[in-house]
Amino acid sequence: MLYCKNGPARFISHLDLVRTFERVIRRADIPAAFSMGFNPHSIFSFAAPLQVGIGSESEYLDILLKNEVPPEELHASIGSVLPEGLHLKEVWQVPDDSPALMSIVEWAEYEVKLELKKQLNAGGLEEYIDSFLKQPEIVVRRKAKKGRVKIVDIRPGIYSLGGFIKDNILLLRMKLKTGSNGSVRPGEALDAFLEHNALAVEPAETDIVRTGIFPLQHAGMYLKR
Amino acid sequence: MIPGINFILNRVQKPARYVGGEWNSARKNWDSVSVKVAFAFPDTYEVGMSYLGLQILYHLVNSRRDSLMERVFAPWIDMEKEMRERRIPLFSLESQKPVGDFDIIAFTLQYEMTFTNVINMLDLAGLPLHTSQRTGQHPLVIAGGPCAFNPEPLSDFIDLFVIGEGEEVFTELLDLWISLKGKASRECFLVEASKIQGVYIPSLYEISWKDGKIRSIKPGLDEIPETVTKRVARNFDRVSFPDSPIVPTTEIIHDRIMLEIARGCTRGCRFCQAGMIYRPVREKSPTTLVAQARKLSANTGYGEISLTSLSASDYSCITEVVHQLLEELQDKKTSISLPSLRVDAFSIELAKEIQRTRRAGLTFAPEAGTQRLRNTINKGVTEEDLLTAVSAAFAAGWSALKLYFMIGLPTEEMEDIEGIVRLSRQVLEKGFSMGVSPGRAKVTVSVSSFVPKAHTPFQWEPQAPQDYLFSVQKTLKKALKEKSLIFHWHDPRVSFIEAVFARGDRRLGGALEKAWSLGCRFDGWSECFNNLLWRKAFELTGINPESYAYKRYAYGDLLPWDHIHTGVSKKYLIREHKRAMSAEATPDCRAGNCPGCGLCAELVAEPELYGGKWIAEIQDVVL
Repeated sequence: MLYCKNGPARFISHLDLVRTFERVIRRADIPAAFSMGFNPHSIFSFAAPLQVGIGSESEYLDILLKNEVPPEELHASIGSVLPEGLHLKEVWQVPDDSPALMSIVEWAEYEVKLELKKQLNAGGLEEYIDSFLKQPEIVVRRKAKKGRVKIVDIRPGIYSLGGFIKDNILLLRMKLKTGSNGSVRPGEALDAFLEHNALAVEPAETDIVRTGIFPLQHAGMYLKR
Repeated sequence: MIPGINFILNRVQKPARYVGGEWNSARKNWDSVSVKVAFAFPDTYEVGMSYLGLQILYHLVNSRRDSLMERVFAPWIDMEKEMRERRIPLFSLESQKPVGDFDIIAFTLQYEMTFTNVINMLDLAGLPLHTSQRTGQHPLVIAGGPCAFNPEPLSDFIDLFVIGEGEEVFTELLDLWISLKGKASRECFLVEASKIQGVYIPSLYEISWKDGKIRSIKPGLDEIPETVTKRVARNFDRVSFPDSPIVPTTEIIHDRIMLEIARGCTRGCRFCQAGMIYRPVREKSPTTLVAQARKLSANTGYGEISLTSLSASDYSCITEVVHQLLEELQDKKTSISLPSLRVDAFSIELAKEIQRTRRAGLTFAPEAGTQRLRNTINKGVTEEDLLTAVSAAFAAGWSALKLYFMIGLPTEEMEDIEGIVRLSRQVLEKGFSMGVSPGRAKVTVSVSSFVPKAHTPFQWEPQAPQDYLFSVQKTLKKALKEKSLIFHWHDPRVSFIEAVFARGDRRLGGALEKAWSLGCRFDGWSECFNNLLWRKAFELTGINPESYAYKRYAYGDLLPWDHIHTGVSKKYLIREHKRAMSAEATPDCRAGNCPGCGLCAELVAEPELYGGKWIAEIQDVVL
């Protein structure tokens, strides 16, 4: 299924989202398959975890059922029991032997809206983007376990960066590496871009939304109806 | 939407605490109702959402077409900082409206150590802190819950207290509010409200003192009742019940269905306030429970249902209910848990049946280390009961058990402390002898300090001195040093402040406000509790806290909470106190002998046991 995560739901952490869907599936009263063992739970998986606080127009989830149910029926049952901010867009059936969603994701697209403290023209923006992307490496620091810091080059994971400017409102579109082989977080790419170009923003006005998750080319069929 | 709120939410821990939008949360039209109530829980979201009373009142008020209720919790330290820096007033979760825009702010007082949060929330809402400074322009600030049974320490800040169960009295209050809205002044409303049973308006009562003792507590007007008697929800089986409770998206403390199977407990433990203030015992019928469980399960999607009451295994037909529920919920793969088991083999049998895994440990509460002291506190448990129960638990596959004790109990001696050590070791030995491997066996010994509470047989007793409590903890820590024993204790300094307020009076308002202004918040959280600030607050306001916590009252003294009636007579409490001093136990009235607490006569109420029975078959009753 394809769904959005906005409004209050953008503050549901990935771990809490697992808990939330567990309950959504029970409320929807669909013939979900349960795991074996002492604590049976329904079997479902996400395409790519989303950071808390970032909205999304395009999240994927697959749910294993015990038997076939028409997608329209599932759409009605699940769509009517979601908490505020989770919105179901599409439900479809995939073959039983489909690979795990997680394993086929290659990149995600994000849209960033922010308010610059100074005005900028379209030409200026293009120069900033070029100069940012021309860097041989873009090094960011990530918090790792036990209070350590990990140094990561995110340049190879920034697949594209484009933008649009009107007065001091800047819209950026970023395609970033995402998936089980490592991801670039939209926040760190954005901060690196702003820092590289010494751009000051009104922090309270920044809004990041994930607009798409895209698979490796050969696996495209699984993320489409 | 509050400008910049998303930015702030991205900077604080656990932002889901502040956003609402959970399944089953209410979104009512602000302009189409006559009265708007903010339910204010003076602790974090995770604690507040685990409180069944919130769900009950939320359902009750939002079921009315003319009323709405939204929620607000105490913002955590980081959120408070952000809110103050940006001048964002305390806002409700549902509509993000400032709490000051509501008609009524209703606090629940579950624990004395949340009192500074009450003041902080009033301040964050931008309201005058004192009831005397507020006018008809401000919301009415009301409070209920167990700590309202001694309302005096908060009487400077709260306009109106609700004493007892809220289901009926809340309805009556809302009706009164609507009928007088725009027609009567705030003062006039308060006088009218004071005539509702269970409503206490501290500003309408005068307290006179003589030689540091209370001489009288009297209403200022003739038409106001001299004493306030608590409310009890009648016909409990049919009482309004939230069958579509809010399902939080973020993990809360009790993250499961709470199915209230009974209210009240007449075991009569002499330290226990809940056992005194929630009488009489009322049970729901198995038919009602099964129907409610079915609805709750379908409406929430929870995979676990917890049967709540003060003592689940005392429910007169618990086995029958558990079996029916297991059958009903089988295909839903829903598990059942019993959070409050007694120390007996019967309870273990029950736990064995319902718990699919043995991962969650079992907790036993012998409370005291010797039979003499257990008789004194009227905890009807013998050493044999405990050992039989733990044997049954080990035999059923549990390897981790938790024992709960209190120290500083009235009449306690060194022998009783040694008893805690001996009993804990005996339990562990039992595990070893039953073949639990030394690597897996674990006995956690959790020790808290006794806090004398209002309306209990121990209300006249002082708290034990802190030096003593610290030295006992040290002794226990040393004696319980062993690989498979884990020793947990509570900070006696926190228990001390708790004791000050639990039996406090009106003169404490200034100290409380001072503590808040010095920065005390979330005093029940060990990472936030600041004893130095509390000491300073008492010093600056000229209050000697020891004179409260360590005070021994005489039977003849007028107590600061004597105008609040629980239905349990003072005569009975005195009798129970005397029996405690001679280590005599008193049986549960459900076993057939009425010990004469006086409640049924005073409240014209009676126990509602399933099947209309008066006498229940109770396990392990000490006769």
